[in-house]
Amino acid sequence: MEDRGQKVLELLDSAGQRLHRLLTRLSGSEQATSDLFQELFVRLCNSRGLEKADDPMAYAWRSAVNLAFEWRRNRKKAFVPLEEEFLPAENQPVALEHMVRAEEMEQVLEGLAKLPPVAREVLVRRYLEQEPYEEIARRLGKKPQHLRAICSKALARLRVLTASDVKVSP
Amino acid sequence: MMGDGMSEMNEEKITKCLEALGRIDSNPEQVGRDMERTRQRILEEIARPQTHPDNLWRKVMKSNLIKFAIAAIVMIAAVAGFFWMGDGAKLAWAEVAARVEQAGAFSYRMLIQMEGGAVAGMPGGMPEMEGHILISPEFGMKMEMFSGGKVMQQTYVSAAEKGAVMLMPEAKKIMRMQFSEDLLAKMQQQNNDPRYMFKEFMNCQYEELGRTEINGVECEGIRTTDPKYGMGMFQEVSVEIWADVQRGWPVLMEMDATMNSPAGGGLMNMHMVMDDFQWNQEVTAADFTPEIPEDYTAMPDMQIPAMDAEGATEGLQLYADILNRYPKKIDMMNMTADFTKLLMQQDKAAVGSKLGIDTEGLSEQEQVEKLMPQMMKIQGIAMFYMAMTQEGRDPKYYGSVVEPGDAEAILLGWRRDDGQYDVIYGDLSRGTVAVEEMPEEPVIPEEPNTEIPDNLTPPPSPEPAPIETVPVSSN
Repeated sequence: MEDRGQKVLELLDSAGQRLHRLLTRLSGSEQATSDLFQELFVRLCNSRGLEKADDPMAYAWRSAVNLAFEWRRNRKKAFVPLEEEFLPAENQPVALEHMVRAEEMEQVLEGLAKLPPVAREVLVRRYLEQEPYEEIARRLGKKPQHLRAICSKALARLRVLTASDVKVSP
Repeated sequence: MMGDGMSEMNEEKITKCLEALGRIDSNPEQVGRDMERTRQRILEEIARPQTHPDNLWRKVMKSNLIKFAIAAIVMIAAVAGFFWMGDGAKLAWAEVAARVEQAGAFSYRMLIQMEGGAVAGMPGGMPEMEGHILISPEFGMKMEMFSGGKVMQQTYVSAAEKGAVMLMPEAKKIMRMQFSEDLLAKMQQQNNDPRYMFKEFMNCQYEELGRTEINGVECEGIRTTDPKYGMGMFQEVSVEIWADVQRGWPVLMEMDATMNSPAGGGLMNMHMVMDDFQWNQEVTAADFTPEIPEDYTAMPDMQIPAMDAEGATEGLQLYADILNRYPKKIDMMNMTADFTKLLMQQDKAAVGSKLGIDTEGLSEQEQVEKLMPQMMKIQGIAMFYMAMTQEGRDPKYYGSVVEPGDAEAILLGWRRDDGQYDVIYGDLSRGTVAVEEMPEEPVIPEEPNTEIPDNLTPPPSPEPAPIETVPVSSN
């Protein structure tokens, strides 16, 4: 446990900032990010998988994504829009447009939570983490063109998922 | 809850949303605070004695009823294992496999040691269990398990009685289990554990170990570490079989495996040895008939779930009724762990009310006794999954990403003879789809198994709160 704990502390120093940013993007909530961040490292402390992992950072990254989407699935369904400060500064829209934009981002995140894990990972890495296809392909052991196909299918699926959310919402 | 300005999004809009999310950054001050708070938490975690799994296991071991339940489930797994029929073996080992398959009644000794996971840190650890097993293709099976020189459990599986009887002498309890007709039919066709083990082995990649002497007998061995062995039940596995070179009968089987503990609480290691084989014995029906002392009390009868899609659907419905979600994994060990946690940890009155069973005012023991027969149906999921795996029907399961009620998402699918897939959707409706429509099976990374799956109480996850200050990165 002590060795694993030291490993987790090293991971906190080397990758904490990146994982914090990832959780911020996936949760859309400052408070949730704080709690998820702590929960992530506690889980890693208790994880035998981390010890076995060839790439501890990749293991932690995947755990963070799983944790964030697990949180999304488990929380109450009440809609909490992303706050103004949360949105990128460029093209700040007027209040209504801004709210709609926040809702759309929230909807996309909810849709991501419902995608199969591989498709979700590809979209998160490609768009939220801005990793090139070649890098994602290397990590997942797939060809870049295969990833492009996964990405394309995942976006189409997200469109269906977000559309169904619009229809069912009062 | 969509606003008036909300409209359906096309893929370009979705892409822009994703890109916008990618430009969000954390507040540096918050990062600093969270890093420090988390560092302290990690240090506390390092210093904290690891008690949770042991406590759970102690609770399990204290409860005779729960021990019975787990024993019953392990029994189900053993029974389910009876049916393995592979495609046959190769090389000289094919003859050994054929000889084992055609054997009459036989007996053997089994030694099991378990450590790690839930049993780590227990005083004296998990005691070594020794089993004496007698198997007859005609009459059934008898298994006696010993620990510390005492008989802990006797199990009789009878083809004639269409069921099994389990006795626990220490607790003076008895439990009867009934099998469905199809289950029984399969049991009557194929019978026993070492045969299953051997057949499964021969369908895996294996290596030859050469010759050595075991108890004065010259033996030849083979070993597999193929993850296919155990149908995904094990995280890691290594199995060796040694056979008498002259007579061509197996004399020793040895298995080391890492798996999820059936009591929850993480991974555990199992070491199992099967030896002292006595082949082609003379037996009678009386050898498989239990003598039940008068002072034994009966536990509720258990109906072993059918190994069919209906049984799986019923189990899935029950699981979702209790936990508002589907199990993440449905192999036997994971389902057993889930089952045990449900019996040990949940607010049993709440479970009862979700199942329409009134347990208010009953003792914990009485509550478990009342709930267990119904909850046993949950194992129907694992039974069916195991059957589909054994039949080579490529079962695919998506419970980690599909929610109850989702009529579009495939929850479980298995290949038909015509190459299409029969499927159960998230709303538990049934259908048939082409192979191209089967999604890639989700990869579930191994994560610490320290939390109890409890959706009856509010999850500890934080509620979303408004963001106060989160700066935006410029790139």
